[in-house]
Amino acid sequence: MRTLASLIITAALALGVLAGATAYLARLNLPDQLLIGQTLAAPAGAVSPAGGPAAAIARAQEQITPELLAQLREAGVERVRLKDFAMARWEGRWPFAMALMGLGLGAWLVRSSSRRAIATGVVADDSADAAQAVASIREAVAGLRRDLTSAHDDRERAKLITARLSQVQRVHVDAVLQARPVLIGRLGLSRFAAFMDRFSAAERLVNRAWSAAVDGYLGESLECIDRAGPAIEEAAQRLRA
Amino acid sequence: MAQQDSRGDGTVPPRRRGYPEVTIASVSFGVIFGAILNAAITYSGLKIGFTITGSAVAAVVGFGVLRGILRRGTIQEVNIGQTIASAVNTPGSGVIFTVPVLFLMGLGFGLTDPSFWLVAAACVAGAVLGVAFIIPIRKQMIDIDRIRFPSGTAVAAILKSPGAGPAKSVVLGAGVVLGALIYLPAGLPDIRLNADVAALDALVARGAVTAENAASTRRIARWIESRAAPADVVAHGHALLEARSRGDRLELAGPSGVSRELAVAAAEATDGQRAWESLRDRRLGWATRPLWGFSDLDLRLPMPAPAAEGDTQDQRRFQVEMSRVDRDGDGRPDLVLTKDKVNAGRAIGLPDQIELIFAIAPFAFGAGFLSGRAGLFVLAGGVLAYFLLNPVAFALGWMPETVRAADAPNYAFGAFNRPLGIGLLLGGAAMGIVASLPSIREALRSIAKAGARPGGSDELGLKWLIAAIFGAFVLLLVASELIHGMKTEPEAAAGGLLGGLPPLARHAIVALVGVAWMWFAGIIISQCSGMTDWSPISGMALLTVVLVLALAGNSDVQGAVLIGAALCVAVTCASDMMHDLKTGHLVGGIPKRQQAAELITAALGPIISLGVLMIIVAANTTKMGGGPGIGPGTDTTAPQAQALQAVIEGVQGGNVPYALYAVGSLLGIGLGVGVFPGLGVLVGISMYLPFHYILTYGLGCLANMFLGRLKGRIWAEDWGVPLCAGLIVGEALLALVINITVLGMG
Repeated sequence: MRTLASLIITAALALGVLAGATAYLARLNLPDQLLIGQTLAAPAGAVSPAGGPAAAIARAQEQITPELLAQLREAGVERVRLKDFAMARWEGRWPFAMALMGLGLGAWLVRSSSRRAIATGVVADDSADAAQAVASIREAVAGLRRDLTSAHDDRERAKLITARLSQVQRVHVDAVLQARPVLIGRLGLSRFAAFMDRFSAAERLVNRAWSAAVDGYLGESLECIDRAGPAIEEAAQRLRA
Repeated sequence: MAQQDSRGDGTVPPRRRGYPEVTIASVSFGVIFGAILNAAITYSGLKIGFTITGSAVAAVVGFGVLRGILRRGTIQEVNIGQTIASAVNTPGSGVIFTVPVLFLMGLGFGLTDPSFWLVAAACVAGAVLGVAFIIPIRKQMIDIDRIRFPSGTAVAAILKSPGAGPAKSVVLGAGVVLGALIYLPAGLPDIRLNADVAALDALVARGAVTAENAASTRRIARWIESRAAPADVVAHGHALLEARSRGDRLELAGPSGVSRELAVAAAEATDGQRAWESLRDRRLGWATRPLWGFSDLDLRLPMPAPAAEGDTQDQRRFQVEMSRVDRDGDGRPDLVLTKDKVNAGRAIGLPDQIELIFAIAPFAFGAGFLSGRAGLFVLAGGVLAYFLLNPVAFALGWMPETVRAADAPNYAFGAFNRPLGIGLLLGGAAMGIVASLPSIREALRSIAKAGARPGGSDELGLKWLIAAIFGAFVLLLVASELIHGMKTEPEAAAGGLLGGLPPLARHAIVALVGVAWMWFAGIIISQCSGMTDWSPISGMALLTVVLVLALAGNSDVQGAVLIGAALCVAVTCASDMMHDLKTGHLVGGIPKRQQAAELITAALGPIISLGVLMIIVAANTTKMGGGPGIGPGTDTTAPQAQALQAVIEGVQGGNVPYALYAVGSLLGIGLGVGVFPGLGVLVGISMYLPFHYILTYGLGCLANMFLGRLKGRIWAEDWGVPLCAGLIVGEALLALVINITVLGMG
C-alpha cells in the first residue's frame, strides 16, 4: 500500500510539474481574442537566414497583433510564452487538477496505511526499541553516577564520563531518533512533541556533561548528569503514557 | 597549563571551578573577529559576490585564539565566540544584497544623510526580528523535528574534537585538508597574475584571455616600451584630470578602446607623475592569467575521427560530429573538466538538453552526507526538473525555437524551474508550519512553563522576545515612515493595493505585512538551510519586493528595498541562529545564553556592513569624480545587488510569474499532506538551485547510505561526520583565503 502511495505521489508530482510549466504557454490554435493584444514573454518562432543563425520571428515583450499572429501560424509555430496568465489559455489545467487529485489520493493512502500499521501492531517493535533505548539511557546515566563514586581520582572520573556518555550519544540517543516516524504515528504529534521536549532536554544535559568532562570541569559535569536523570525519567513517563 | 591539553584519550585533568561559557574572552573574540569578517565579507561581496556565514571559520579561529593563543577557552566559550562572530558577520550578506540597489537606481545617500541612519535602523530592526522570531522555533526544529543543520553539525564536530579522541581529530583534520585540496584547483584560477606579452597568444587560444584584452595589453606594452602614448589619448587624459580637479564628471568618450582610467594614467605617465611600468595594471586593461586549475588538466571530449581527404560525405560527418563536441567553436573538443565542474553528461553522450554536471564542491558533498537519506528528496527534485521536465519541455516545443538543446537547461531554469521551485518552497513551508503547529504549541508551552522549573528556563523568556519584536517593529515603522517623508515626488502618486489609504496607514500596513513575512521567510530559510545547508535568500528577497511593490505601488522602490533589506538581514540572522543553536545543542550549550548573545550582537552587523559600504561609495565617488559610487564601472560591481535591481525592474515591468508561484505552492502543499510536511521545501530548493550543486550534494547523501549499509549507520556517523565537517570547513577556509588574496591583488 505504501509503495503504491509513493508511486502515485511521484507520478502526480511529475505530472503537476509538467502541467505547471505550461502555465504561461498559449497554443496558437486558440481563438484570436485570447491571443491578440497579449505580450510575449519569450521570443517566438524562428527563421534561419541562409548560412546565419536562427532568428526569432517575434521578440520578447512584443505585442501580438493580428498580423504577427498570422505570421506565426503560417510559420508553423505551435505555442508562444505570454507575459500574462489566463486559465482559459492554460492547456495544462486539467492534467494539473489530476495531479492535485493524485497527490490527495497518495496522501490518503499513506495515512490509511500508517493507521492500519499502528492498529495491527506492525510498528510495535520499533516503538518498543525506542522505549528500550530510553530505558538504556536512564540505566547508563544512573550506572555512571554509581560508578563515579568508586573511581579513584578525578582524572579517572572524567575519563569514565566521556566514555560512557559517548556511548549514550552514539548508540542510545540515535536509536530513539531512528524511531521518530513510528513514535509520531503511535503517539500523535502533540504527545510526541511533549516526549521529545523532555528527551531533548535530557540529551542536551548529557552533551553538556560530556563537554564539561572533556574541558575538565567535573563539578559542572556531575551536576548535569544529576539533572539528566530526572529529565530522562520524565521523558520515559511521557513515552509510556 | 597541562590542564588545557588534550591527552589523546579525550580527557584532561579536571578542574572544579564554574564552567565558563559567556566570558569576556569569548565575547571579545566574537565581536572583534565577527567585525573583521563582516568588513572583509562586505567588501568581497560587493566586489566579487563572495559571501560566507562564517560559523565554521569562527569555530576554527576561535579554537586557535581562545585555546591556542590565550591558553583558555572551554568548548562552551568557543561556541559562544563563534555564535557571536557569525551573528556579527552574517547580516552583511543581507545588506550587500539589497542596500546597494538604492545607489544603482540613483537613490543613494551619504554617511551624514538621514537616509543612511534610516536604512541602518531598518537593517538593525531586521536583525533583531530575525533572531527574536526564530528563537521560539528552536524547540520545534531542533528538539522535536530534529532537523540536521549540516553546518551546525559540522561546527559541533569541530568543537567536540578535543574530546572525541585522537583518531576522530585526525579524520577531521584530514577532511579539512582533503576539502581544501579538492577545492584548491577550482579556486586557484580566481587568482590572476599579470600576463606576459609573449604568452598572450597562448592565453587567447586557451580562452583564458579575450582577444580584446590581449590587444589592449599589447597596446599598453608598446606605450611602456616607447615611453609614450598617442597624443589623443594623452589629451583625453588631461581633459579628464582637469575635469576631476574641478569636481566635474566628464562623460565625453575618449579614443576607441581606451578606458578613462587608462587615458588618465597615460597622461600622468607622460607628465612624469607616475612610472610607465605602473600601466601594467589589470584595472587599466592589462591582461591577467589565471593560476593553475582543473581546466589545465585539459580533459576534453574525444576528438572525432578525422575526415578522409576528398570524401565530402565523410567531411560532413566530421563537421556534424565536431559541432557536437566543440560547442564553443574554438576548433577543439570542449572540456569535460572545467574550472569547477565535471560535465559527466557530455562525457557519456547524453543529449544536450539533459544536464548532468557535478560541481567540484566539497562543501556540497559534505552537506549531503550530513543530511543523509532525507537529502535524497532534494536529489529527486533535481532529477525531476532536469531529467524529466526540461527534456520534455524541449521535446514538446515549450521553449522558444531559438533555444538550442545546449541552452535548454539554462532557459528552463529561468522560465519555469526557478519560479516553480519558489512556489514549492512557499507551499512546502506553509504546510510545514501547519503540520508543526502541535509541535510549536508544545514548544511554546514548554518555554512558558520552563520558568517554573528548578534552575529556571534554558530558553530566553517570551516576554523578552515580545519586547524585542515590538521594539524592532516600531523601529522599522519609523524608518519606513521617515524615509517616505523624504521622497521628492508627491505621496498621492502611490499606487498598489493600498494606494487609496493615507500614507501613514499604508506604511504601517506595509511594515506589518513585512514583519509577518519576515517571520514566515525566516522559517522557510531555516528549514531549507537546516535540511540542505542552502538558503534561498534571493528568492525571498524577490518575493518581498513583489509583495511590497504590489501593496505600495511600483514606484515605491525605496520602501521595497528598505523592507527587503530588513528581510534579508532577518532571514540570514534567523538561519544563522538556528545553525548556532544546533551546534549548541550538540555540545550542551545553554540556549538562553546563545540566544541572548546573538540577540544583543546581531544589531552590530548591519551597522558595520553599512559603514563599509559608505566608505567604498565615498572612495569610488572621489575616484570617479561622481556617479553612484558602486556598481558597473567601479571596482565594486555589487553583483548580487545588480541581480535584485533586475528583479525590481522586472516587477515594475510586470514580469512576475505569479501563476508559476501559485502552481508550485499548490504542489508543495499537496506533497506536504502526503509524505511529510517539509517535502515541498526539499523538492522546491532543488528546482531553485543550479543542478550541479544538487548532484554533488546527492552524491554525499548516497555515500552516507552506502557507508551505512556497508559498515553500519553508527560507524558511518562516527567517521563520516568529522570527515564531512572537515570538507565543509576546508572549502570555506580556502575560499576565504583565495578571496582575500583576490581582493588584495586588486
